[in-house]
Amino acid sequence: MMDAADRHALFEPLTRQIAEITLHRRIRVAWWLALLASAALTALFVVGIVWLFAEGVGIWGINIPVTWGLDIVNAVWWVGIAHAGTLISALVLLMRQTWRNALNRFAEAMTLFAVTIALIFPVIHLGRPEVFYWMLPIPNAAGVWPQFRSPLLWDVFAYLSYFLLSATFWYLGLMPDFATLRDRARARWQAWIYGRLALGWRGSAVAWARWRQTYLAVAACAFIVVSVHSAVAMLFASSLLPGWHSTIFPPMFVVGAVFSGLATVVILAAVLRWSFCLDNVITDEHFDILSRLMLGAGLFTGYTYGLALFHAWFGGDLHARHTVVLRLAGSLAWQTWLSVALSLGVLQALWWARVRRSPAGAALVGAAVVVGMWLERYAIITGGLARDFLPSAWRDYAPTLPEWLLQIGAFGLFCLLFVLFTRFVPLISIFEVKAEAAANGGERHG
Amino acid sequence: MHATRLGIVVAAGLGVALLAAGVVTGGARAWIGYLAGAVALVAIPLGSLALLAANRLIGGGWTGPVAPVLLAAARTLPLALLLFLPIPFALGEIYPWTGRADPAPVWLSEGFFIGRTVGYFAIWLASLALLVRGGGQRVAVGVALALYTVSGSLAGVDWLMTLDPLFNSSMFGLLFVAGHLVAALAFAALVTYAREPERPVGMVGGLLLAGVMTVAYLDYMQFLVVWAADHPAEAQWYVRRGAGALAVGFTLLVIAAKALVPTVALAWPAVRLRQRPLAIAAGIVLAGHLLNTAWLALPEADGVVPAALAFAGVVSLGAAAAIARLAAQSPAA
Repeated sequence: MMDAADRHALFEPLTRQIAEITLHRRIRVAWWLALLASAALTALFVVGIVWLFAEGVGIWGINIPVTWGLDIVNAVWWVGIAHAGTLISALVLLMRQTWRNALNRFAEAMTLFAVTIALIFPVIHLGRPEVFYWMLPIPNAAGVWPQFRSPLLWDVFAYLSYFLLSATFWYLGLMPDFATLRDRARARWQAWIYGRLALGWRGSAVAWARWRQTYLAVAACAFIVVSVHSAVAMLFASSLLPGWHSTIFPPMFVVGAVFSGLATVVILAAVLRWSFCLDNVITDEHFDILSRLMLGAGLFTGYTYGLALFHAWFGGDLHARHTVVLRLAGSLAWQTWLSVALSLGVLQALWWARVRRSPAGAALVGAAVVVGMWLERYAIITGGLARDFLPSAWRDYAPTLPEWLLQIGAFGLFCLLFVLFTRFVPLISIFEVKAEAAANGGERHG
Repeated sequence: MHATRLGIVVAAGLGVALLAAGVVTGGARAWIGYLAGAVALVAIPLGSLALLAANRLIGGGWTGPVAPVLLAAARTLPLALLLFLPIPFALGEIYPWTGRADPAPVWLSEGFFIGRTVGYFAIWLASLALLVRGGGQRVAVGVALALYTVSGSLAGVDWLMTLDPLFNSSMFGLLFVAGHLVAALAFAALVTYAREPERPVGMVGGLLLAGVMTVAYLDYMQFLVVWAADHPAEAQWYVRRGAGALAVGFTLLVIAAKALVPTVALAWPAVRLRQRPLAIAAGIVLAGHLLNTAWLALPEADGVVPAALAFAGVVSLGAAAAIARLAAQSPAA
């Protein structure tokens, strides 16, 4: 056991390092520039939504047969990115792996922001977004009742419960750190705000014990993350469309989601480490672990692609086989190969330890993966609809300017939320990194 | 030692008797049962091989408590190969797609089918040699694991899914491979307890729980997709497994043994972390694996009873072989 002086010597530099970022550090010009840039992009999002609400979905490139365009691509892609945050924070917590402690706070923030954006898209793609609550089974005079056998409804529940769960988990994890900020705040208003946010946390042994129980219980609920992307996959797999109906879709979507999410975590970890000089907290070892996970998830995703293609051919159905040909060598081939080259091709660089352990190298691979997985969603969703059973009805889809505004704007909104997060919330879980340091005898952070 | 010998004799005798009963009552119709038995048994060495390879690749001691049994089980792969030797001679009795001339099948031609199975075993035996030697670079082990994942998936499709040539599920192979891992882990946990009741179980219970839940998830998703799409070619595969009270009862038994009971039981630390309760749970999981393999194959048989007798016979012979091998090795090995 360490005595109090030892503990103080071990913990104080770390607590100061993280808390300073939120409390006292002078705001740098770079942060203002990032805020300005992301706010400008978010403005595009607002423009896109106002335009949409004024004119209706007719301004988009969607039309029969491709009725789902960038709106649903983004709903699927963003909620997929969210998955890695839950995986890293909750599931790895249950496996009692301590390496997550430096990553979980911002990974959870990423989850929360990504789910928020993913929630916006299905609502705005409704022709009448003002009555989105009709999707909920609310007793009402009009007798409107949702179809419980439809995956569209399952998605409503899946997205909403995922949002609630990740918000709860994030806030629970923040409580002890809010209390730390309260205690170290020099300005009264800061102490007041962080004190309220900490919900009167005093750090007593009883409070810690109760908190630990709650935190683990909420973490155990995180297995619903699997049901979220499975329900998304059911949107496609439960149909009979060639290129959509395949039983491998639920695990393929879940693993693909984790894959793209891990890639995003790697990018964010590299950016945060560089921006806030966190080399001692987010170490090369973290990049190595994340890269290995990303490599594993990517290879498994590739395996599920193989299964989907093989069985589309194997079943002998004319339409399914034709879709395979279109995807591999026909008019949709560019989507397939560009997506595979970016996500699975570039990924192979991670076989080299030097790339894995370098923040820049891993983040570059991560960026390729994120774009590749977006293209994969695009190929599945729009490509599947563009080539159904009736060749005379085949029609290609091209996104229009209002759709691109929303695409770029959503990215801006994510960046804006994240930039604000880095300033007002401790971006590393202070108390968990300290606990890890104590367990390691202070080797890493001493 | 006496009890062990008695166990071997009883299991082997029962196996021969059941096989004979299957052949007497059904003649060639018993072959599907034989196939199912062989497929159920080969899961143990294959799953053990994959678990050992995965552990060597990822590192960490998570198979530690059961590693000796996993290695011993993996080494029985050549024995399992022997079980498959008669099957090429009975393809016509087992698979409805044989003997088709028009249209000439590519994937499902008898020669290619047999050639593929030979190829699978060649890959697996080479991987076994790599692992047993203990050498093998991490990359080589990784390649072996990747090859196993692909070849195991294809083997599941070949051996069991094509019993109904209309059924086509892209999840089938993944389910087959995932089932191997769970069955092998359950087998290893059970045998480890039989040999060394006091040996600490480490993470084995948690791993088994994760495996059982993953397979249950995959099974349910396959069902949900088929149910929702309701395509006749796929739905009839499930309809056949729910036709009549007996079929429904058997399906429920499979669900209980491979998913429900172990998930609930292993969720308790008192079961997951203690030797004896974990061994009982592992036994249920293993039984679930055997029942599940029967559930996948037997409904495709012309007569279920002879096929079921033959299946039970092969499994019984497998049990005899397992007991004999274990008795030959001291626990310290």
